[in-house]
This record gives sequence, C-alpha cells and structure tokens, in this order.
Amino acid sequence: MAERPLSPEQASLAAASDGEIAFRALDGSEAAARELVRRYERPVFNLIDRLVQQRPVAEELAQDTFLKVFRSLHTFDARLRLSAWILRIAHNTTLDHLRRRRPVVVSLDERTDDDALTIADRLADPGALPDRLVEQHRIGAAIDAALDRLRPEYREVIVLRYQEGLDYEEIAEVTGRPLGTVKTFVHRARRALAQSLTSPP
Amino acid sequence: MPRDAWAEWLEAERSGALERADSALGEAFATVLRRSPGAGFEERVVSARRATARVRVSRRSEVWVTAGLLLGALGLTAAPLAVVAGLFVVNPGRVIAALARACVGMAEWLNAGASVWGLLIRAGTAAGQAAVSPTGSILLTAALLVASMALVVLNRYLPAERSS
Repeated sequence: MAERPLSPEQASLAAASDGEIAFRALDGSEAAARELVRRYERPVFNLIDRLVQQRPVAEELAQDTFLKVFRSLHTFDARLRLSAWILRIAHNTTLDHLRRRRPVVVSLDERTDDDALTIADRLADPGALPDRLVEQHRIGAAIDAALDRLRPEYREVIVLRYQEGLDYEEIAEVTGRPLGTVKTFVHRARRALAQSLTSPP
Repeated sequence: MPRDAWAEWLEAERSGALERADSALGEAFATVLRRSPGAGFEERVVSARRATARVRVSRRSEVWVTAGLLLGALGLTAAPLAVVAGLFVVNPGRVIAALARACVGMAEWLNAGASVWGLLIRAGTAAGQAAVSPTGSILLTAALLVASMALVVLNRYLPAERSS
C-alpha cells in the first residue's frame, strides 16, 4: 500500500526538534501531536508491552500514556530528553496498571523453543546453519523470548538501556530508582539474560 | 553483523569484561525489533486527544453556565428581598407605591420605544395596583419565599444530576 504524501506542515514537523514538536503540540497543533505520537509510539509501546506482556492491554496503556503526555506537556522540563520524559510517564502508567492487578509469575526454567540447541550453541557454530537470514530471525525470536523470561524490573532496564539507548541517569529518572540500583539492575539483568540464553534446555 | 555482536557480548559476559559487554549488547540489540502497536494507533490517540479536549471545554462551559445561573438566581432573590426588607425599614406604603410607580413608569418607557410593550404596561399597572393591596403584599411575600426555596433546592440538585 502506497503511503500518503506528506503535507508541507507535516514535512516541516518531521524535521523539527523534539522541543519544537512539544511546544507546537502544547499550542494545540494536531499535526504536531500526531508527529509526537509517530515518533514515540514504538518506544512507548515496546516498553509497556515488555512489562505487561499483553498486547491489547499494552495498546490501551500506550494510548493512556500519550493522553497523559498531552495533558502534562506544560510541565515538561526542557532539561530532560523528551524521550526520557515520555518513557517515565509510560513507566508510571504501566506501574499503576500492574499494581491494580495480580502479577503474572513466569518460570525462568520455561522454554519456549522446543529445539535442543541453545542460542549460545547456534552463535558458536554459524557454519552449521544454512540460511543466515532465517537464523537471524530465530536468534531474534529467542532473544525476545529470553528477555520476556526475565524479572520485569530487569526486562525494563534492558529495554531502556539497550533498545532505547538511555544512559544510567536517564534510566534512574524514568524508573524513579536510585542510580546505584539502576547500575546493579542493568548488570544483573545482563547476566540473567546471558544465563537464560546459554543454559541447556 | 548481529551474530558477531551477540557472540561478542556472550564472550565478554563470560570473561567478565563489563564495559565491552555493555557496548556489545547495545550493538546486538540494534537487530532486535521493537514491538509496535497495531495499525491506526496514531489515529486512535489523536481522536482520543480531540475527545478529551472537547470534554475539557464542555466542563469549562458547564462551570460558567452554573456560575451564571447561581449569580442570576442570587440577583433574582436579592432584588425582591431588598424590596421586602425595605417594607420593614421604610414606610411600607411608600415602598409599595414607589414600586408600583416604577412598574408603570417602566412600562410607559418601554411603550415609548415599541408598541409591543402595551401588554407589559397593562401587566405592570395591574401588578402595581395588586401590590399595594394587603392581599397582594402577602402573595408577593409568599411567592418570594417559594422562589428562594426553589433556588436552594435547584442549587443542591445540580451537582447530583451532573454526577449521574
């Protein structure tokens, strides 16, 4: 399906900085609000979906997050990165939701792949694999599954640090945890992820 | 080179090279796709934003309308009450006569501008004449009391209706 051509306003917004977008959205521009959603829908949804692990719920929470963002744009502190500020709202919205319902307990021993090879085995022996693209996809899916098996707080810091590229201070800002705790969590989360990928089924 | 990045990260993790593990994992994660919402998400958010903005505007209007109603009610209550209070302070006969003259005068003044007010002249004159009689005064006072009570009840009823 062909994409609709951008209007001049949309084109200028696509090139605008985050601060400018936020300012225009605050001023009531619908095009700016749309651009803001377009820019951050993936990071916001990705973070929420990783935490709640239920797609329809994640969509609903992501929508709530953006509505909160629009409602509180006037309180945005320009010293923060807009992405970090939006992710903090997503984090708080998700946390509120999780507090209201019973937590889902997932066993760390659970395997989603019935293949006997671990990811570490596959990574160590690339020659044994016929189709690199298919294999990449399988590795991606396995990483995805391994990530989902981590504790929610570990999952969150991994996503924020390695998928969203936030530094430790920003992660502390988003999650509301002390800097030292964030560093410890990132370290432990990485180790848990490696362990999950290398342990035999 | 996703495979290399993952392998390098695992290797760094095994050997305890924390900084290398940190950067390698960042590089490796570049190949893991972010989960994305379903089609039309952007449109849904923008529509919801529009709807909440409308609700905010209508709530603001509701506040203004309520404030206007209350002020109007207060005015309507205060004016006749002032007349009634005047009956006790000043000579009642003079107050009623002044009121009747004011009604007649206003009716005549309005009539000068438009003949459509003819009806009001007659109504004003009749009201003035009725007001000066003792029965009229009692009826007027009773009507004022009923109106005041109705306004109090209305004031209490409005929030309940809003919440329902």
